[in-house]
Amino acid sequence: MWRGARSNQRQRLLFATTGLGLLYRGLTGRCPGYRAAGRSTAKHLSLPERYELKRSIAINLPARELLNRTRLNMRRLLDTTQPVAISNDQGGSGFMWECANERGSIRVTPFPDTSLSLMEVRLDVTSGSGLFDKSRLKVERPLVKFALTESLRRFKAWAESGEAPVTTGQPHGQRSMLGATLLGALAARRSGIPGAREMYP
Amino acid sequence: MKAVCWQGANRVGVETVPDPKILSPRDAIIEVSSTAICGSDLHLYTGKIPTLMQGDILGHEFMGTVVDVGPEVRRLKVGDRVVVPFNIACGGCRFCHDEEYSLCDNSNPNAWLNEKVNGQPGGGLFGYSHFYGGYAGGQAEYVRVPYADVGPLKVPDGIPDDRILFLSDIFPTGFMAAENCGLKVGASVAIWGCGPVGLFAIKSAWMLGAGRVFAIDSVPERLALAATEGAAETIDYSECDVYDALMQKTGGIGPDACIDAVGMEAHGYSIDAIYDDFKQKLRLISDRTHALRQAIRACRKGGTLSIPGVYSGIVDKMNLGAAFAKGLTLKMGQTHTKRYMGRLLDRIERNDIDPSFIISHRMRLEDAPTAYELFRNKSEHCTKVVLKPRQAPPPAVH
Repeated sequence: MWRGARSNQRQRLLFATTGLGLLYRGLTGRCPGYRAAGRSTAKHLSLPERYELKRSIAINLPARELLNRTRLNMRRLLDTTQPVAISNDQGGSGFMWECANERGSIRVTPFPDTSLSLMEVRLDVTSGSGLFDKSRLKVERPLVKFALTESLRRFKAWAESGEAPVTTGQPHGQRSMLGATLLGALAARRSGIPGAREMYP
Repeated sequence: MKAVCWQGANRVGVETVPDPKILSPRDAIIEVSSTAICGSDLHLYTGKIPTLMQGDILGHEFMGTVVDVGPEVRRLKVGDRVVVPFNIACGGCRFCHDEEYSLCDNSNPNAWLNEKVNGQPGGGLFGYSHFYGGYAGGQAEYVRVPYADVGPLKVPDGIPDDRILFLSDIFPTGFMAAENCGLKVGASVAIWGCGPVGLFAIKSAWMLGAGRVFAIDSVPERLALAATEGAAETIDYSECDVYDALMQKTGGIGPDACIDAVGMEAHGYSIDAIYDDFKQKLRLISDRTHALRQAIRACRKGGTLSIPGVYSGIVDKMNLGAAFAKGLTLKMGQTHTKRYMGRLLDRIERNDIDPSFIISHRMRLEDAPTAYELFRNKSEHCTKVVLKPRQAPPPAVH
């Protein structure tokens, strides 16, 4: 009976270790077994080390003026207090930029026969080499894309009208608990998800 | 201050809330002298508009006096008397430059939410749900007006509030509805709904050269107003088939233009109206489109259908095939209020029109819950309620 119980314990330990190993493998994409055997399946399964996001927005300013304003206000566009380095003027229609771990480019071209200009932003994101890359990227990429879209929207509002619209701080009546929670979530979402940018590797 | 707050479907309350303050350098604070309940407020009141939250301050038709301005406001100063359009416009985007103020790109702080549903976001509106920005409305003692140099229209002191208040929404809305019909002189126009917007659409159709105007409703006092004030030929849909009546009046051709001033909560007695009502109650559709279907069916071949009535989302059983087969032109959308305010003020000053004819009730702000109920039920011959935040309470009876 004692031996039976002991055998049961061993079995559980074996199952638990196997389960944890598979979970680790699933989440990280790393296989200790393959590593021990010196095999690599990286060319089939590895994650890209970098990914690129592109967004564009039409802004009601002449191209040259918009380009100059953007160049001078990159910190506003990127919502950052960090210095932004600008380089490689692209023949007067754009530039490359780098800020902390982020880099990208901006290109501004006029729309024909309108007062609008098209601003195209490219953002290169370098993926980290830490654990849980695959799972994290699935969450991170749409958040970063949304944050970039909202940053551009706020920048457009500022460039065209001198301010981004604001309602935080206005009066309201008695909220329900659910309503207050939803509105808090809405405000967080609107502000481009605080913390989303910190998720950049 | 006191403000009218939404407290759930068919429930509003007058609550004490903090006074508004300048949140942006281009803001102004207005002390409200008159504010009205709009027909579209009833969609909010009955809980038909998503993203309205308990505690939101209602109201988008209001006027008053400037009591504070932000440091970057140039055109307004403290003491100015203004009427404020219901749409909030930044003044700098391409749409504002083209005087399409309701389509403003920048004034809706929740643009992403609106964009998810509509593809591109509409501009912000006062007191009209978080989908349109979540701005506090004007059924209050004070209201914050963003981009104050763009929207508000300065008005002279000599004209009473009741004559100019409706420049904030329903008069321009009725006018744009008629303008969207592209009327030729002598054209015939049929207007579904003789509420305030419908009545102003009737008046505007005449101003723009219509030869005949047909007014469709079932509320006797509204039909009476359409006939007496609007000189329209009336059709009571509770007593006859609207299509038959219009064909009879136009020799089978149909009206040159049709205006749906009813919107998403159309009533009717036919199978499709009952079906809509049932599905809306089950939340399977957002809009009841009985009036719109009728208008499409009745409009003449090659005619124009103008839709100032509010629609909010998904409709069902739409006879788009009839619109296609007859080559109808459809024009719709929120009014670009500011575009029309100046020229309609001129008409009021010239005594071409006195918009106060639609007011049936003048009440205190504190009476808003009763006012909403009256207006929703169309009881006591209620066609339009104006609330006066500064009106003294009636003397106590001993």
